[in-house]
Amino acid sequence: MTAIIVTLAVMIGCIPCIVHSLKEHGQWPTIAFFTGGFIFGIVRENIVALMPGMYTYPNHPLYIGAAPLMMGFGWSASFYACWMVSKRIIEAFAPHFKDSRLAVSFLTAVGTALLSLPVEIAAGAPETSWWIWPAEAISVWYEMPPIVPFGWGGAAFIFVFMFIWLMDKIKSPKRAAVFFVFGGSVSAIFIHLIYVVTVRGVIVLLLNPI
Amino acid sequence: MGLTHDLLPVSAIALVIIAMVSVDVLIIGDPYRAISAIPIVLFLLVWAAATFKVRRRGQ
Repeated sequence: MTAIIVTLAVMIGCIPCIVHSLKEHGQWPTIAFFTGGFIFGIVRENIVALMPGMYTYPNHPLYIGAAPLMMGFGWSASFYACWMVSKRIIEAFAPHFKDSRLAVSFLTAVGTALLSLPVEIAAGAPETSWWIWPAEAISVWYEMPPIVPFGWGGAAFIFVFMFIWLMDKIKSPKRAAVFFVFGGSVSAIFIHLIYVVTVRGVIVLLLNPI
Repeated sequence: MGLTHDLLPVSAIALVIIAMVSVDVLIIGDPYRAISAIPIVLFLLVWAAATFKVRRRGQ
């Protein structure tokens, strides 16, 4: 039952992100980001469980439906930490782009894609099997299929872009938070699933040319 | 805000990296899997250089 390691790592990792967000952005944006991230993780993984050809989570200590509890914390902590790191990098090396939602979200996506590598390489091993891809999935690095970094990066881009956009657009932080949790994060799930299916199709086409 | 504040989100990433590399080495028994952590570590090094630059600019 080694899945407790990744569960604890993401749940403990979420704490400094929440503390940072409370100081940096205040109460309502923090509630919005991490509640929205929790909904994104749990609802998305439950939908994925119903889709053919996707991964399964056989060995986790706690589930909400078909989604391991850690997914509620893992996505939001990854997105937030990579967003803050990306913001700093842009502030230092490309200050003209520091207010660009596209630039910040894109670099966040790159960071999140890079973060996916050690997690997926550890998660897919036969000794851990925290999540298992179907036998027909093509592996590019150990058990990791090529969709993984694109999936993680795409999720980060969609989620962070939507969050920044709504927080900028709606002036009341409380209203923006409610709108993001019940509208933004749910929309992000469906946009991301369409994106994943599209990217997976392109990868299959590239790796299996007719 | 101080360096401790800046380090909070980085500590979350570092925790995940350390946990995954430990799993690669101690549980899976394949240290070569730890190579997968190099790109994100490089990303954090760029963050460290960026933080140094921003803080020096602020002084």
